Amino acid sequence: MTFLRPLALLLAPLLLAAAPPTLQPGNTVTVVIPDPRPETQQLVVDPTGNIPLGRYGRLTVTGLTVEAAQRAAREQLKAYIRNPQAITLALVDARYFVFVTGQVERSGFVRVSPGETVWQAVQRAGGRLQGADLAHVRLAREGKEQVLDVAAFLAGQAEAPPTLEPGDVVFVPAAVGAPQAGTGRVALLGRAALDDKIFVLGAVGKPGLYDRAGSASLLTALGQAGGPTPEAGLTGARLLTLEASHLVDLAAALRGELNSLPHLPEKGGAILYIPPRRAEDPDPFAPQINVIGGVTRPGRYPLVGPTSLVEAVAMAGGPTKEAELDELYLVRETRSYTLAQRFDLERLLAEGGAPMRVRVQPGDTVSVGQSAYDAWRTAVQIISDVAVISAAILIFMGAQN
Amino acid sequence: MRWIMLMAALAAWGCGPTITIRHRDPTRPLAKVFCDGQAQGDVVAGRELAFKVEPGPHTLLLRTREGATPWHPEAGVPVILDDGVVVTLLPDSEPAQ
Repeated sequence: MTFLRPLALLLAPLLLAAAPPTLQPGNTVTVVIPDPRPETQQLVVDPTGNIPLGRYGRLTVTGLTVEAAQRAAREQLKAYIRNPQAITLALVDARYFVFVTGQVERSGFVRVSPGETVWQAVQRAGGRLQGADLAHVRLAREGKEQVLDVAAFLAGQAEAPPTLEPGDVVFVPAAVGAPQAGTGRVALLGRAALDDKIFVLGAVGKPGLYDRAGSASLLTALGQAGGPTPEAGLTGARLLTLEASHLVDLAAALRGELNSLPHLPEKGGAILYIPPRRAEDPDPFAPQINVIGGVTRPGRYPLVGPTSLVEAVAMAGGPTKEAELDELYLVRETRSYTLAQRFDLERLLAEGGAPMRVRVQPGDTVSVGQSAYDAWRTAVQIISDVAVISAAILIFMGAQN
Repeated sequence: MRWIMLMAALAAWGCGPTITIRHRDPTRPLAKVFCDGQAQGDVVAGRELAFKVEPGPHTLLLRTREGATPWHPEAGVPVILDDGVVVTLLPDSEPAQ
């Protein structure tokens, strides 16, 4: 049987070339669903390998050929539509996701075309930041990591870096005091090598791969990775697991306001990505006040600089038309007392005076009274309806007699 | 007519803005209440004390037999009286925020 080995070696390239490509996160597919009315959708395979089929749920397509994905779609939808065999699925854009992080403008998933290299991925992530060390770019693939000298390539002193493959992770370190990856062994989400690991990326002190044993929760994983940097956008953190992609408000968790952080899965890897904070986002740890009651947008608002009571009401969109402006309360809670001051806002606005200079403090609650007119109107309407029905019954009974 | 005038006067007196101190701290049974340095009376735990002052900014100070407490730092508690002020004294605890 030994003669089969050379034959297999000869035929292998031909067999591989003939193998149809499989769908990967980032690919765009067109799905046509014939009934109840024809629908054509262009869908991008998300980082967890699914496409959203609206009311028919999600369909996992990663690793499937186009034909296999089409069969899976027909199987999944056969209970809902009359002619599932008419469902078609086609690949229209072969770009796929790779993850780029570190000293780049926009850390996160970027879509690259087949044949593109690390340098193109960095460009698609908005380009390198000042101080990026392009001589030591790390490329993680299939449980292995390699260091690429992209600077030498750009200077024409080295060959082009290898082309990217779906699921690759690119890390651009800082030139001085560059944060090191947690270990030298980096693997892709869902591979066995990540089963007991969490990959913490983005705006943290030490991005890298960490043991899950020491990361009972996302907050401990964040701590293991050196904590967030001052530029971290903690309100928009993202946890990627094999099952789902969660948007996580780590700032709220750090304030003690969020009791239901997503749990790390028991199996499979996890990626915790902390994006940079956008310029327009408020500082999540800035002091806040609560504005409740008869205002257009009740909620918590950051306190930026000295703010008067009237400005606090204005921040919440101003009073509603049902607001009782003569019942404006400023409530302050301290260690040993609560203080509730009641103001007549109508009179304050008309007459001014010292109360106009009332400043709110962090943690204060501003409450605007609301009219009970609507409740009264509903009650009167019900009584009126009952009276009309009763009168009609009495008249009917009188006519019978 | 005199009764009507008396009732109107009482009603007018009762409608003015007041500062109310509600004492809900059994660990300090008795507190003396001062407003702008003027003694307003004593209040025992479980009861309340209301008094009238002119609308505007005032400083409340409460003294107990236990001496200085977090209730009343020497600077006092600044309040602004417009329609009314209610201060509820509570046993020491961590603030909510």
